[in-house]
Amino acid sequence: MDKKKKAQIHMTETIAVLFIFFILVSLGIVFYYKYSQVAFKEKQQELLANRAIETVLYTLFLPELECSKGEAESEDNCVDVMKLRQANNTFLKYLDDYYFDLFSFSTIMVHQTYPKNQTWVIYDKKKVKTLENGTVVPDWTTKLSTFTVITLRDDLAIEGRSVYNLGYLNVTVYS
Amino acid sequence: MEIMGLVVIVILLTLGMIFMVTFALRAEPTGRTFTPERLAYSTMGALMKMTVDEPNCVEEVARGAFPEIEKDLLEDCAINKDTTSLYTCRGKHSCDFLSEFLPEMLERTLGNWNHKYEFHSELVPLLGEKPIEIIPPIKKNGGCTGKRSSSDRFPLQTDSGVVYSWLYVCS
Repeated sequence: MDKKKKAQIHMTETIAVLFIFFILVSLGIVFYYKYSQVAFKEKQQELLANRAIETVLYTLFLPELECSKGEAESEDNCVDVMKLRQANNTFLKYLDDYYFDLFSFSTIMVHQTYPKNQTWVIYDKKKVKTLENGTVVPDWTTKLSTFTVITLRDDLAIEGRSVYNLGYLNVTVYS
Repeated sequence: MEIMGLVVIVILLTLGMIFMVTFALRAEPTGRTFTPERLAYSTMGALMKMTVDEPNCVEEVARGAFPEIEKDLLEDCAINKDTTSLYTCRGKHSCDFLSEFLPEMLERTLGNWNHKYEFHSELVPLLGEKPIEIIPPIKKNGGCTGKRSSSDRFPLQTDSGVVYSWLYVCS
């Protein structure tokens, strides 16, 4: 009888240990899931920020916008106003064929702040979806804006020389 | 007795995991707008290169000229800091005009995006004397004291010495 009782107690202890072990494993899984969620969101933000920087750099070095100087190296952080005036037409014409591969879902605007305020929207492709009733609604969850100060070179403002106005490039990316 | 030990282990592990998750959740959220590292450099480059279109901003000799900030006005300020300047934008001496104009331009860009900034410009004379501030430091909200992005120094060779200008930008 004594031996039986000992065996029963031992069995109970083993079951209790196993039970606690599985609770520990479950807790571990739950905490790892929560941590992964947070880490995933941070990674998403980081990737979005990288995409924003890439889009800014692509824009600044686009031959369709940059301030070229013939055979010489083009000017840094400069957008040619003459090219800018025609840029929207070019971008719209080849948006799905070419520019979407470069810029994906984003909005690119050039603002002039001096001497006069002016805005050009070069590229605008937001992430949207169409509902059953035909309404188009935004489909993005996060957006990130970046601003870069640039000069806008205007070769037509004064005869014989270039004028450099002040402005900034606003790139907004969507995910 | 063994069960007591197991209970203690469970409690300790639970506490450890709570700490870990709390730490992970408290990570700084990234803002909706972020500052590229090169913002100070690009702002400074644009500012120094820009052309001024202001009333009475003409050189007496070359009428109708639209001076550039660095090439014309800053040089004029450095060479003629103690005499009459060649350019008289808004009817002022070049140095006074720049002290007024540069904050306006910085406010239209960096200030508009709620960035703090600090602009400096000083002349290092030819004979190796102490640097002279030709434009009083321009600071927004006390300037940048902690982590900041710098434009590095933009040098300008003049007859009076070398003018160094630089900009700090912080959030």
